[in-house]
Amino acid sequence: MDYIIELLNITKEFPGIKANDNVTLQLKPQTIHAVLGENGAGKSTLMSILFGLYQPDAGKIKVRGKEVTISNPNVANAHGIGMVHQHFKLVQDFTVVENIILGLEPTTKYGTVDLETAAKKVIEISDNYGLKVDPYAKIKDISVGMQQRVEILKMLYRDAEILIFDEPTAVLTPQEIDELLSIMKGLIKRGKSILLITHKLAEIKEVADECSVLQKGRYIGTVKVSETDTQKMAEMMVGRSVNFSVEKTKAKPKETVLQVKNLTLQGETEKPIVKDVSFEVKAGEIFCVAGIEGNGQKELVELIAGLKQQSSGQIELLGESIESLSIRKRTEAGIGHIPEDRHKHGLVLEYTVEENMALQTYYKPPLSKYGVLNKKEIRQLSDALIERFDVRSGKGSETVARSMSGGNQQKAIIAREVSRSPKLLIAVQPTRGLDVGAIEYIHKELIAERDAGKAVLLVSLELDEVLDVSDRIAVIYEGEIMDTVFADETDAKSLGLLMTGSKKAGEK
Amino acid sequence: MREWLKNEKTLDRLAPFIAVLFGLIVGIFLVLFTKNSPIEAFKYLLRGGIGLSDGKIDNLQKIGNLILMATPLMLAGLAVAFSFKTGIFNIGVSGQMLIGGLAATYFGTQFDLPRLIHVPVVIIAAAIAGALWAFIPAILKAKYKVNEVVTTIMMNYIALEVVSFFVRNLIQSERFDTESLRVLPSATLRVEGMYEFFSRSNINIGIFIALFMAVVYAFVLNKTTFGYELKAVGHNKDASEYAGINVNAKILQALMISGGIAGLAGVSFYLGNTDHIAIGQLPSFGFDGIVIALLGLNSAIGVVLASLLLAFFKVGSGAVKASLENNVPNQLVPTMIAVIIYFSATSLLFKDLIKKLLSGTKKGGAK
Repeated sequence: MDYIIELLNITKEFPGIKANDNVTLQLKPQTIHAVLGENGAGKSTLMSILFGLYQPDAGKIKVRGKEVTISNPNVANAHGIGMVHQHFKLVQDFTVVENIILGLEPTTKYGTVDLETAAKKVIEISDNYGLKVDPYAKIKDISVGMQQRVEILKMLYRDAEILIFDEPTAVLTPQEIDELLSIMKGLIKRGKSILLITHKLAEIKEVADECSVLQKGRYIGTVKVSETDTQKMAEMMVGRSVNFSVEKTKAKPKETVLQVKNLTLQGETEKPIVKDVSFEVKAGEIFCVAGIEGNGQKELVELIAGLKQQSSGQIELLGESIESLSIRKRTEAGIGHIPEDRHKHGLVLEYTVEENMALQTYYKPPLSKYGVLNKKEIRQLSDALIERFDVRSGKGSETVARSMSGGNQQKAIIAREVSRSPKLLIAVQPTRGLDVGAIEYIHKELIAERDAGKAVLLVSLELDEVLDVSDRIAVIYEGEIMDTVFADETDAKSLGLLMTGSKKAGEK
Repeated sequence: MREWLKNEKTLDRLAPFIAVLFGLIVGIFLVLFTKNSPIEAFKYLLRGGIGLSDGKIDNLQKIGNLILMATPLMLAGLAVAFSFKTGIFNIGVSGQMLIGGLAATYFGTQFDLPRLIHVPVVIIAAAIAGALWAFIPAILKAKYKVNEVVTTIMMNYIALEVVSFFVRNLIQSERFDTESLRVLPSATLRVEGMYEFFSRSNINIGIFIALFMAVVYAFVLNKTTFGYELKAVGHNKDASEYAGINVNAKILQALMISGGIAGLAGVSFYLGNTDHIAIGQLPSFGFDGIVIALLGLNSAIGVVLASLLLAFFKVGSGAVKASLENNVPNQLVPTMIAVIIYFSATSLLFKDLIKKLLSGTKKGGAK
């Protein structure tokens, strides 16, 4: 048996778009095969075809050398194919074992659910693969990384041989990512085969044996990971050479734009969410608040933008106190805000691109006059921004935001916020979930803003981004700034230590 | 043609027509089931609905009555559609109509004003009363996030009792226990000229209010910053707040405006279709309004057309029932309407079906 899974010359067309165009993918047993491509390259479609969610228009699927038709996910399961979805499908109020057995509950002779036997089997599998999962913990009480392991256990419990991981690291912290990658290596040692969908090159380099690259639905080729480097894979993925190292000159900070003094946000518990935070962001510098998710950085930004009210402390923009101003007044005072959750805060998904482009300025001339919208002006603005920021979509200004790819949605938000030329640009996780090309673009854009004399406040979880893009870094842990350091005087290791609250830099 | 059909927007707009078609087909089967001729039934439906007999319309009374029936339907439909567009489910249009009607009846019976002043007074009173009645669920939703579906429904029943109380204590009719006084001639929406032109139909200026409101509705929602804000809040409260829109104020305004339009439906019904307000009767227009908004895809022109269609069925059904040889159950037209609602609610299903059929024929053609 040369290949355990073969997808041969798969073509799948949706109205107006060829999602997969003659794509071939062959998975060798006991290997990790990465599927690499930008957002919208057709990775998910291909996996959905393998998992039985879509039927291909042309092409063949072979499992263990035999041609099969996978008409629905149950058929895929019967062939031993399991999938860890990007968004977990778990019942929050159920325990780990209850989630795992859901759908094939073992029963005792009295017809009740036999949790004990199931838990034993779960523990056995968990120990076998080094997953260290507590079968009686409730899902809502365990970390995201643990929840993902429950998803993996669910497949192993069902004796899946071929595991599909759909962007598994998008939601994990750096430590969790390392652990997941070693779990994956353990899985193939014990006879499983893995398809890894991702656009993170470092992970591919670390765990994958082979890598197949898709680009705009077309199959570019398959490479042995050991014989290539991330640069080459990135080029195959975007179809041009990619610049990883962020090019920038040394910052020339000028006057203080944002000054935060003793900012505190009390939560529902005793412990404050944001605790006595003070810092300043100067014009011409990128100031980064780094930290592991959930350490108060989200709330800190919401306080500055006006979405939340502080318990105490001051916020000054260009020397003017803004902490009691409304959101709109703060926007008008010169804050641009690229929010963390582009679907929740950044865009009205049902609105078209042009309507979204007008979201911060629709009430002012020339976009409206006496409360009546000037659609012509809005279209002009939108077309100009689309052109300048290279926002790609099916129908230009008339495209409904929901139908755009994540990268282009983000570009649209950046276009809207940057084009208002705010004094302070807040960017929260601006590259989350985006592919290499888009990340490169966004980093360039942030640096361009800095060089144009704007103050940039960046919030990021990605250490590479933190180190490459920012000039000064404040590490936040449990709502408190642990230390503020210059980017060129620190490294990933000491930042990592600060992020876990271990020590202050310099205190050895 | 195929390209045109594949367009999402075209499919969306086609869905209501397909739903109506299905409703008619079901109606045909029901008539056949009662051993009557569907063609006869349709003839009587047309006679009852628009007064068409032997291929010509002798007088305009039936058409007048059709428009009369469509007027409160149209306004109720606009009220519901306005709330839907702004992300609110105003199920309390009936109650807001009642309160609007009560206010209009009060002003129409207790004040003796010149006609040119009296009519605007009752209209404005009705709109304000409807909006104020919607204020209670609106403030509960905006401030305390109380689900408006529950509160607006409950407000319907409270409205019923409020009307009963005020009618009994302030404007009780001398002749009937369950009715208010009749409105003064100076306050009625009926006008002599229209009455004559439509051969003694009670059609009144309410229809002009309704059409005017349809135009205002389209203008506000599509052309103004206010409508842009309302729709943005309806779609995504978080993004709206982030963009500096006062979300709570918009929710409050949206529901109150919807209530105000419902109040206008009230004045058009109680001072146009009738000339008094009766106690203990919750008008069905609020619920018909939901049907109309659904069928009209929440667009102004859609609501106008859907209310005319619904009025046509309602007005015409009596003639069908009365004229067919074999007995037709009363439920014929309500069943047809139910089928239409059912199919418009499941229009997504049709969209997929049409798409599948189109792609299927395409494949067949290529072979």
